[in-house]
Amino acid sequence: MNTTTKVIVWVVVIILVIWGISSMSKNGSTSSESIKIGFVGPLSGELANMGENARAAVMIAVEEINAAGGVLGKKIEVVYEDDLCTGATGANAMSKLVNTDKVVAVLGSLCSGATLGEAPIAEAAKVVQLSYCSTSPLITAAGDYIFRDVPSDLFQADYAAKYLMQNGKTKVALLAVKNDWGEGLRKAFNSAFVKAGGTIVSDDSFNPDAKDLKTQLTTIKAKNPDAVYFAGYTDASIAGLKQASDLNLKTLFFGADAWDDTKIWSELGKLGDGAMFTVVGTNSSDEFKAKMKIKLGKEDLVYCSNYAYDGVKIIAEAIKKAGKADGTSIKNALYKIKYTGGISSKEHMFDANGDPVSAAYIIKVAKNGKAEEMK
Amino acid sequence: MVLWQLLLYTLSAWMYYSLLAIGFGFTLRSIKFFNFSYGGAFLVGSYMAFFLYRMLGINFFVSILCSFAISGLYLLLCYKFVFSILLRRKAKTLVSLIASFGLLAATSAGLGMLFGNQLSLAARKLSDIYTIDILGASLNIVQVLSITVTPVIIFFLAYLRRKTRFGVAMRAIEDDSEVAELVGISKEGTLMKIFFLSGMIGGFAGIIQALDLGNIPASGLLIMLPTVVASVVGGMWSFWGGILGAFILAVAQQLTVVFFGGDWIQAVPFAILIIILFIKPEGILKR
Repeated sequence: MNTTTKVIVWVVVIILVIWGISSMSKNGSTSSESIKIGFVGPLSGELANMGENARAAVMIAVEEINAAGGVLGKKIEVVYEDDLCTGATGANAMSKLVNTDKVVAVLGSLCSGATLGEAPIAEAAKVVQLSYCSTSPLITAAGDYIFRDVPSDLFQADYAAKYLMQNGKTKVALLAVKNDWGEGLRKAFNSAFVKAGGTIVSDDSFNPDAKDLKTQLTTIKAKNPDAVYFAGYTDASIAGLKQASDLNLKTLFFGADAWDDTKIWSELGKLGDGAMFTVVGTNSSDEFKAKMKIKLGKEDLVYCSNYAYDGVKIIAEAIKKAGKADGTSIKNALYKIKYTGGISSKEHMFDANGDPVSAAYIIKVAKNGKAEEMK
Repeated sequence: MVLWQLLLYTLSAWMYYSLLAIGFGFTLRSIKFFNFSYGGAFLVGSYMAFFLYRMLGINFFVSILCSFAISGLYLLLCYKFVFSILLRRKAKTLVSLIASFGLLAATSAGLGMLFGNQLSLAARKLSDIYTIDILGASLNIVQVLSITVTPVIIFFLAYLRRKTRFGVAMRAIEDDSEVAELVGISKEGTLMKIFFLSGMIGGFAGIIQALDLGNIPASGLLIMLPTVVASVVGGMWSFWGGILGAFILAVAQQLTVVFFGGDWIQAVPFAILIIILFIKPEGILKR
């Protein structure tokens, strides 16, 4: 290395250091003017469609809050992080939000597995985490700082089990993805259905990256069930329902909230006809739907997005109630909050575990590439 | 009835793994390291079929032939710009293996950026992939095609290896590439042809996957596991070894799913691999 190169290298290093210090100090000054909230969700990967949908809803909520003067005289600023729907990536994203961005609350995640991976970090840092879509029963006990505005799968599985029994589907085969969400649903449905007097004819699960479910479906077909309770995410559900139609397995396919992803039904088209799933009811307004359409450039609203939108509003409300923006005060305010006028459900209140106190489900049926509410 | 259906599925899985193992075996025997960029060719085949047929709306046969050629070209370029240089420098096999791994990772990430990490189905409408009734069991048209076309490809490749000049050159390089060069076989030219061929076979498996189940960029790596297991179990240095290994793998996977459940499907190939490596470290079939 000759002298000129050395000089150039040193100049570059000095510029970088100065730029780094100045940008860090700028960060410090903005944090006093705005309240920082984190967002975690699957912005890439299998559930990217749902994650991006939720991000758009969060953006709308933040714009609305800031347009109305912000919270405690400060603007809300959201830092978006991708967790790929996995606990490991989620934990990294959460560490970054808590330690680098110094957020006071985190909205997320969408996937149960990711939320469970992130929760210990939020809990240890005394930062409030509010999930807008994770429905695994395990999250109930995830920690004092861990909330969710979406109801636990215990309710969902119970509702599905009762619905199937009422409609004379007494022999049901279970097929669930092997992750926190699928396992939670599988166990909850199994016990709820047996309690209601039904028979589980087969109980199987598949790996999260598996798309080939032909063999499982063949054995299910041989048992001739009245319905198949199929708890899968987008990719496996598209592939699984296609393979069931290949196999001429014409039984009722009953899914859970993940089937609210519009991509499943648009890909399957007519092949998905007749499939049903439970999803929490919404209170969504046309105004919000119109705003989402502008944000996304297409008509697409995943139910989680309603909860993500309400989640931002609830956190803002809690900060207002607490009078200051730090983790512990927000947490205490959340346990006491009663938020009305949301678009996901009429009223939001949290029980001692940070779960919503009530749940209202609806059933959707797929027809011609669209899932519509069953009247 | 159920048994017949499962037999057909086993046959279809066997043909699919055979295809993957054969294509992989060609490069494995000639350059003597696990060429992970083969998974990249698999992905390129899938995504080209998706891009040309579904996104651009080009005629089915034209887009399939193009994706076929492009996946061959992909592996050829990988050879020309990476492996050829490494071989000339007499790099250690570990270095080449890592380079091939890097190529796969880059391809998978690049395709993910272009087409998204979500499932991409090559079929324009899923109902286009209609089902055919075979004596009471059913297979979809893609599975039927792969079951009928794969044996033709296998026997064609076997003939190519046995009888043609290129086949003889290929086998000579597999035996000892330096001696082969001494007797006047062009190592560079033969290797380029081998890589092109291997890429096309991998791409063909990818096209089948994209049409049948759809594909995600991450599967480039996932697919390498059964491929490597089938090649090693059956015997890496034998052409028919890959097909034998694929058969064992397909049967074992089906039995696992039927008797133990779907979540064990990834554990079984490893168990077989370890057992076979204990009993027969060279694989079942010899050179």
